[in-house]
Amino acid sequence: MPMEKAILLTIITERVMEPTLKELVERAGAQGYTIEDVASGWGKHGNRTGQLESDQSFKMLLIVPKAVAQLILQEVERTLQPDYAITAFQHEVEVMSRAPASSGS
Amino acid sequence: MVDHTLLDAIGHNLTAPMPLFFALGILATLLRSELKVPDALYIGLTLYLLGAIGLHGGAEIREVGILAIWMPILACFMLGSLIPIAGYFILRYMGKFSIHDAAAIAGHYGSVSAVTFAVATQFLSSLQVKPEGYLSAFLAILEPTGVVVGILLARIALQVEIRRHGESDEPTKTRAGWLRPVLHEALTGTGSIILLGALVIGYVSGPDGIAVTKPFFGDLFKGVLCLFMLEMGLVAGRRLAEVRAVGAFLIAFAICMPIIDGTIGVLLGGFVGLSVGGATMLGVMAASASYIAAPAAMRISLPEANPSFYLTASLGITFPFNIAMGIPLYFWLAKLVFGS
Repeated sequence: MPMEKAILLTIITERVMEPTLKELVERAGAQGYTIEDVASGWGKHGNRTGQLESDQSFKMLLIVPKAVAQLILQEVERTLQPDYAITAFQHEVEVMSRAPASSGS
Repeated sequence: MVDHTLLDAIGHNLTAPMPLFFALGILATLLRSELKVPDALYIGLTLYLLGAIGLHGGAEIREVGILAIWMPILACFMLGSLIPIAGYFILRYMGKFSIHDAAAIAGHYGSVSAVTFAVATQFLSSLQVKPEGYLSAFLAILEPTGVVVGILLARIALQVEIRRHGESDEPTKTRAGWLRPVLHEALTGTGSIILLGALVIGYVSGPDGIAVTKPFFGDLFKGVLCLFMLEMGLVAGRRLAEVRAVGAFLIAFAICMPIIDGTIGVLLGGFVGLSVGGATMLGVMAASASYIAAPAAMRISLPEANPSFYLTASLGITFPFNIAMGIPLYFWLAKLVFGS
């Protein structure tokens, strides 16, 4: 099975920022992402109980080339980090290579 | 005699199931119980309550005709704009809050709590008092108006500051196109779209529509509201721990502001020709503070404002106050001034 090296970027932030973050990563060149609900959490921005919309968080997972990951993190740091609860981290991962275009999908 | 009536009204309110379920939610939180209303059910209950409220309001507007209610609508817009302006100046100059915090909190008080509205309708119906049914449409007016005025206040105040001092002490980020996301949220958020949609559906389908949906949207309403109040008690209970941290001024504001707003709402309601029940409901709407739509909108538009202030004030103090004391107080006032 051929594998490719890429970056798995995980961003956890406030629910109200979901549209903003989606727009940000698309502009930075991400080809896709996965969104997961976060039940609750606690940190610098206090207790995020997940009970009200303003209190909910979500997690975005992206697999992107290193350059795109860098760009996304820079933009997140510039636009979201000053005002919103946000945690971002990255892993180097190996991803199953995409099937050649000729075989469909 | 008069005091006796007010105490009676408060006593009558406090023994109704909705405030008691709310108290149970708070108690469960204080006892660190595992009690939890599942998220999906909570959203389902919201859809149900706002759907039912909207359907009735829409059908009632059709009944009376939209032209017959322009005076109350005008009163509603006045309340939605004047309450946040007054609140802003009180918080900014008496409470010494920052521009962002003062504007965000004030916007919450200009906006409205649909749950408080629903509990008030049940309180009145238990006393056989019938308010004008179309008043629920005003929820849809007040909810976004308060939020937009609150955000506008912050923007104007920051501009004035910049003009006066060359620059503001507070971080000023120019958010071009701020109105669009706020209006989008105000019109298409879960609560708003179901309320607006149900108003239109109620208007189009009229009394027949109400009749066919009555077994679901009518008969079950009180029970569903009880469950919703239980969840609100759980949410508010968790805010109680933060009450002491917000300071004496905000605690006093969160109790005095609804009394002042509620009084103005009742008087205005009476002057524009609403019944005692209707004036009570306008008072309740004026007095209540949003804690679902407004916090989300403020988080987007005024992120520099501290959410702990506006959530604790509106959800931890004003909401329980209105549920326990405010609703009977506004009713008593309406009866005192306008009751025959």
